[in-house]
Amino acid sequence: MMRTTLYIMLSLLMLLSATSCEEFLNRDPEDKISNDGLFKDMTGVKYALAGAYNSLADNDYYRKNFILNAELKGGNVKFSSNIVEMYMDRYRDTYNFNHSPNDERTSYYFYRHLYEVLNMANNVIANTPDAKGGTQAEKDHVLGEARTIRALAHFDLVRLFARRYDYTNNAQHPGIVIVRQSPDVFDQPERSTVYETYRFIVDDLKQAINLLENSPSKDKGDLWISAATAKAILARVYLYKEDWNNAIDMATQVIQNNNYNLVPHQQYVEKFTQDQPSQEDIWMLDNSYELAEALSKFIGVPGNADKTQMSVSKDLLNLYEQEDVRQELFTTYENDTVCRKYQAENNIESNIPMVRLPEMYLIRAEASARIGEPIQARSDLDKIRKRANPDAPFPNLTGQELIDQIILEKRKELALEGHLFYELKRLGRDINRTDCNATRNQNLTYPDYRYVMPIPKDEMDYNQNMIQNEGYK
Amino acid sequence: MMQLKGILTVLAMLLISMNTLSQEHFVTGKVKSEEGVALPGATVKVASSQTGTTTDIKGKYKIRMPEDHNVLIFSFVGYKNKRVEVNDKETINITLEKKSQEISEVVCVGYGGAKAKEKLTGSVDHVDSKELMTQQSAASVDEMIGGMMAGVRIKSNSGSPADPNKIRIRGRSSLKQVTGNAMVASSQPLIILDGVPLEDVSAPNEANDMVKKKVNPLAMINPKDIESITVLKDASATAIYGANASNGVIIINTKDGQQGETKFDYTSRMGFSQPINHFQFLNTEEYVTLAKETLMNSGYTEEKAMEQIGPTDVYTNWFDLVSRTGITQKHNLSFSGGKSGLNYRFSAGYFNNKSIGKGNNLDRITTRLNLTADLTDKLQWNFILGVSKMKKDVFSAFQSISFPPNLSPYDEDGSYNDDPPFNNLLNPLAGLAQNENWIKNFYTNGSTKLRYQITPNLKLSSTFGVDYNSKETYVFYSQQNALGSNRGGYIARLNKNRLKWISFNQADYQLTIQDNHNLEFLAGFQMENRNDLVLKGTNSDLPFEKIKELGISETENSKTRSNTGSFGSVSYYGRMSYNYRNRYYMNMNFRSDAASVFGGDQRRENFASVGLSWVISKEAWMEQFDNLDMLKIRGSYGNTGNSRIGTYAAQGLYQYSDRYGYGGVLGAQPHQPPNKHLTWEKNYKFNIALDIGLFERMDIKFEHYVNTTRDAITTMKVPFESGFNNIPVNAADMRNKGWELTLRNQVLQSENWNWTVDFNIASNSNKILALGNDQNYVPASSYNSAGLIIGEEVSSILALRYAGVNPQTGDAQYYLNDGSITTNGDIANQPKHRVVVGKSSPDAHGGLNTTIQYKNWTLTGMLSYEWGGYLMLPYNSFRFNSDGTQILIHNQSVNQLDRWQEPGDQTDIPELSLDNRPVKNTTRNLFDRTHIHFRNVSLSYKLPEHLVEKFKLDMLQVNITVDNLGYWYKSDSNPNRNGIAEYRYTYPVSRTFTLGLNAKF
Repeated sequence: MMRTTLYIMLSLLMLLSATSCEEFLNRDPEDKISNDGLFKDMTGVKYALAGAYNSLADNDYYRKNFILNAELKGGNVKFSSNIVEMYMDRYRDTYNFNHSPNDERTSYYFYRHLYEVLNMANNVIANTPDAKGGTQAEKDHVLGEARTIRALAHFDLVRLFARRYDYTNNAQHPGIVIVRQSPDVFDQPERSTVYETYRFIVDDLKQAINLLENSPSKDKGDLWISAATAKAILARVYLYKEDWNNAIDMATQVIQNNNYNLVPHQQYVEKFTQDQPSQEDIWMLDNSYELAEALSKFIGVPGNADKTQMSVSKDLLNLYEQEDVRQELFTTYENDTVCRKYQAENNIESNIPMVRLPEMYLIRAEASARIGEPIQARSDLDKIRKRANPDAPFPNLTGQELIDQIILEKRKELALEGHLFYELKRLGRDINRTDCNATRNQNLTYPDYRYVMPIPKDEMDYNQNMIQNEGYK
Repeated sequence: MMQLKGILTVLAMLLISMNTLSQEHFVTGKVKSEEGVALPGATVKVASSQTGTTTDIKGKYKIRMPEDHNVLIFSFVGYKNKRVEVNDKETINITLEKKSQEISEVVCVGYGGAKAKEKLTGSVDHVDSKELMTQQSAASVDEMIGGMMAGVRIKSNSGSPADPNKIRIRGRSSLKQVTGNAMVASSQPLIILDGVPLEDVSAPNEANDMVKKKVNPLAMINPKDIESITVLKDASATAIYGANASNGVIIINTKDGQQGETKFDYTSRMGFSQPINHFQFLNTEEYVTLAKETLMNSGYTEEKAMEQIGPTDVYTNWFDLVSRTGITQKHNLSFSGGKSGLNYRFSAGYFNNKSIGKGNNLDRITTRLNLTADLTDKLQWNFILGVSKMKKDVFSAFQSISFPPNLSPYDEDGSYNDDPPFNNLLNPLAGLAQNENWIKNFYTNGSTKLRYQITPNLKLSSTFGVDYNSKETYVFYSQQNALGSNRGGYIARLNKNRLKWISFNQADYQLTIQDNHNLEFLAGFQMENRNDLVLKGTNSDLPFEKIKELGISETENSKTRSNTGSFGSVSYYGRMSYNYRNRYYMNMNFRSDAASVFGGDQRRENFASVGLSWVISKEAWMEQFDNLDMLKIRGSYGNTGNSRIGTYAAQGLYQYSDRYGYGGVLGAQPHQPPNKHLTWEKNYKFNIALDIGLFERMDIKFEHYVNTTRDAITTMKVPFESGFNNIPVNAADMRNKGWELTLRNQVLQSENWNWTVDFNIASNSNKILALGNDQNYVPASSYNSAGLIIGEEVSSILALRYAGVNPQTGDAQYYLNDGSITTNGDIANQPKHRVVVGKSSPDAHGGLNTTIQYKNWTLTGMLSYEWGGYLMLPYNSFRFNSDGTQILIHNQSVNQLDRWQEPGDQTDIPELSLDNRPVKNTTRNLFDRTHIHFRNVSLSYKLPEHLVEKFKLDMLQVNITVDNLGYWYKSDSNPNRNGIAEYRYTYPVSRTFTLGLNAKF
């Protein structure tokens, strides 16, 4: 009898208390949100997507360092005589091609930040299909944008950390770690070949184009990725992959898109000094969320600072003819030459040009020249040259001369927009910097190992499967 | 045949000789109790023989003393044995004393359980209020147990009474933070006050992160209210607390009322403190000499150098300016009693401390109520409520003691000097006069409990406890001094509220089968919940300083922030105890815990332990060993856990910020990765021990343990492809192994004298067995001397080996990892050259505690000691031994007088120069911390009864106590130089003289 009472009492106690035990233990923080909570509905998905876009405009990416890496190494920019010790220290290794796996600033932050971007894009891609609310078209558009971001970050990683596409036959040399989904923190992922990496990037962009074309979004401006953005980036990827026909095809599709036209000669300078995307901007990055000066303080017109930290080199300035309107973009500031493409007002930097239409003409021109269609190539080249300098003569060139002219034109047109070094590497060209105050490696002969950045030491230490790039110990 | 005859002859001769040689000697007498009552049936034995008898109904005995024996042993159940030397006496009357508490003492075992010490299978140490009397000056409860129990180590961080102390039981069972932002589980023991677990302020917690100044919850409890402190150490004792018991458990019970008349108790104490071991700086002449030498060695001309150094005729002693005689006052009044089923106790205490550093005051009021009422025959209700309030003024007085001695705190017109460096650094006198910085704390800890005795064997009880803390921090920096001038005056207010409740219901059942098998069962269920809210507001650019509140200037200068956190856990627990004839004991514990910090499959974890003991001395065949009162062997094994790793550690989280947006859309970015693998730290505890009682006056306890921590949590680096660079992981396995010895000895006991000596010693060694990724974890920063290295101690110190000063050049020299020597501080500073040079935890530590009573006089003394273990010079002191580099900013240690000056000088201190690159973490700055700490001496006098009665009092006692008499350090040999005694604490410690009075009526 007594024992029965005991059992009844005990089971009652347990029962009373066991109810909704799981609920009692599920705690959400109130100032942060769990992944599940955020991706529950399309509102949260859009916040996460905005966060991913924001991460592109990070100091360690398009907002500053990814651009400076291209321009310092390529030779468009040099240190100002006014540069403060802190920045000299920060950019010295970049300027001198003096990277080491132990360096915790340059390659370290590129590697780390780009995979952070990929995690954000992957979270959106993985969770959007199951999110509540929103139309299918809305979801497709979000997925297309996220895939474009994912492809772009992979493309930039492979440009930084791997050899160019034709380094080996069929690109069988080490590429980067592809992340189709965010790996578990305990995974030890391996590098794919460059071939596989590009295949993945191309595939992602193709799917993005499909998704975006099926879900045209009217209310989004040129700060947001559209089908044309994905196509333009794919054209660029094809060019790096030396897939000339597809590059021509993609570039042509963008050029034929009525939404985008070259800004006329007369408005050229104005286009760069006004902040809003112009008719030739296929995609610009909103740069207004971080309240501090970035590129304007280094190679642009600073709002607050009394000095700039870097100066445009004579190597670049001397390329422009007297009549070239693009010359007017350069101005002297103290003793330095700076570029009006980057300006700041009230600590807000101007938006970052990601893809402009002229690049599409120049991609089509180069690809056409390479497959032996100089007529198309000359016509495209002429269009860009004439726009800058209406008096420029028609480029009656063929073969390598024509190609060289197109590449030169690209350096002039896309100057300081983060292309030069990556282009030189794509072309397998030597680095020759004349107006240069680097203290080491002023000139570099392709294929020096320094064209590729080292994998950071932390990554080597904590990922057993990681292979270091040649030349770095 | 012949042989047998021979033997018989020899035997017969022996017998005869014995009879003839011995004088037949009988002893008679009477055995009584202390009250004078005859004790019939008491045993009287001749020591070391088979001869014995018992007393008759009147307590009388007669016994024949065999030859060569001279000692009689008197014993009686429930009384202490007594040994008497006979020495030809023929009558010996004996008074036996009742057995002291010591043997029949009851200790807590968790969840309301209490057990006679003899019945324990686990490792438990216990201090009751009587023993705590020696620690009367302690301001907080945790300070009271330092050195009192083997294997329990208290590390005071700052010496301020309200700051949390580190308590380590049997070493550290969780990893330490090797970098500032690494997440590790708390190493503090679980502390339970009257059944309610206290908040662990050291545990990582999102809401805690905003709160820099932590208040020790134990400082909010009046030490006078403590009835007992029990420390549970092994698995058998702790496993019932499962998830949070890895670091041991401290159970604190407060006093309750006793049936009988109302008794009042009043104590009053007044103490005066003086700084000891304070850092010695250069005086003005020495300072000028060294500064000049430094500058001239750095290429200055004499004229330029003197211009740089400034006045040579200003003599400021910064230490004297900011220090004072500390004053402590304490008053306590309590009353307790009980009538017809209602017992009560209430106490109120007031504590006020003005510490030796100016601007540091503490004011505390504590109250505590304990009620127990028998509602019916079977239903009992218990209610405990503690309410306390504290205000603490904070001022970093001793931060300024390194200003150069030739700098004046005043301008010529008598106002506060605000010229450089006081435009950037606070002039302490201006700060004291113009700024405000205080913490107010309101704390409530209480519980209500219903106990229902269904049958004599079955009891149900239900407890609900609350722990509430509200903390208010306030800062005001006037624009007239350096702390406020660059922001136009500044006000910050931070409020933190924490409400925790716990509810547990349990059933206790006991039965005895066939008189020999005794069984006890306990089963229970517990829920715990905690919510935190932190609110912070700041205001700068104050338009005027009359109103010191938030929101009085423009909105952009006024900012607010808040943070919330929440935690929940659900647990089941049970215990089964069995013993056979009170000789063989078995104790099994079980606990199942689930906590909100972990996710999915890892959420619930089960813990269990088993303990066995055998009281050998109760076996019949042991009775021949008279002097052995107790011999017990016991052992236990089991596991416990640690979940105190923060609030949402296992969840993938995104955070919103207006900085993460894009194109007008609010943005969210990842904050931490989902961590579904993250799980409890588990601690497997093995313990074996021997308890010995000798001569009725000595207890010996020896314990050996091996505690293995599995899945210890720390933040480790992960491959970047995950999108993160680090994550808290169950990264390491670690082992603590050691032994403990406790001796309690009643050296002397007689009518007028009573002298006891308690001694304990413990030794612990720690080893990291495994680390995630098989990687040693050594932070890259050269300013960090910590590291996690497989096969080494968790407290290992990593440093560069110092090769002394080159006698020819005066350069500091360092060994690099390849064995070569460099004088280049920059090269030497690279982390790769550091090797393990020692560890911070001691090889052994313990305490010695003695009480000498003579009539109405009582003298107590207490010391604690540590040996082995090293200290790396704290950064603060490193700046004052900067080899010239900081001499223009900070006054320097007197040790710098021994610098190298000319070729041939043999010294450890290089030529002074602004260009030196001194390296902090070198063996030059490593100190052996072996020491003895003379904690206190106290003398008290109880006034004779006839005097006391005149005042209508029950008791009146006066006493004088000296706390913190001093330290002896093995490594300090030079009396005129700073050593570890000065370096060890950031700010000087103080010695306190206290006068006290205690009256009962």
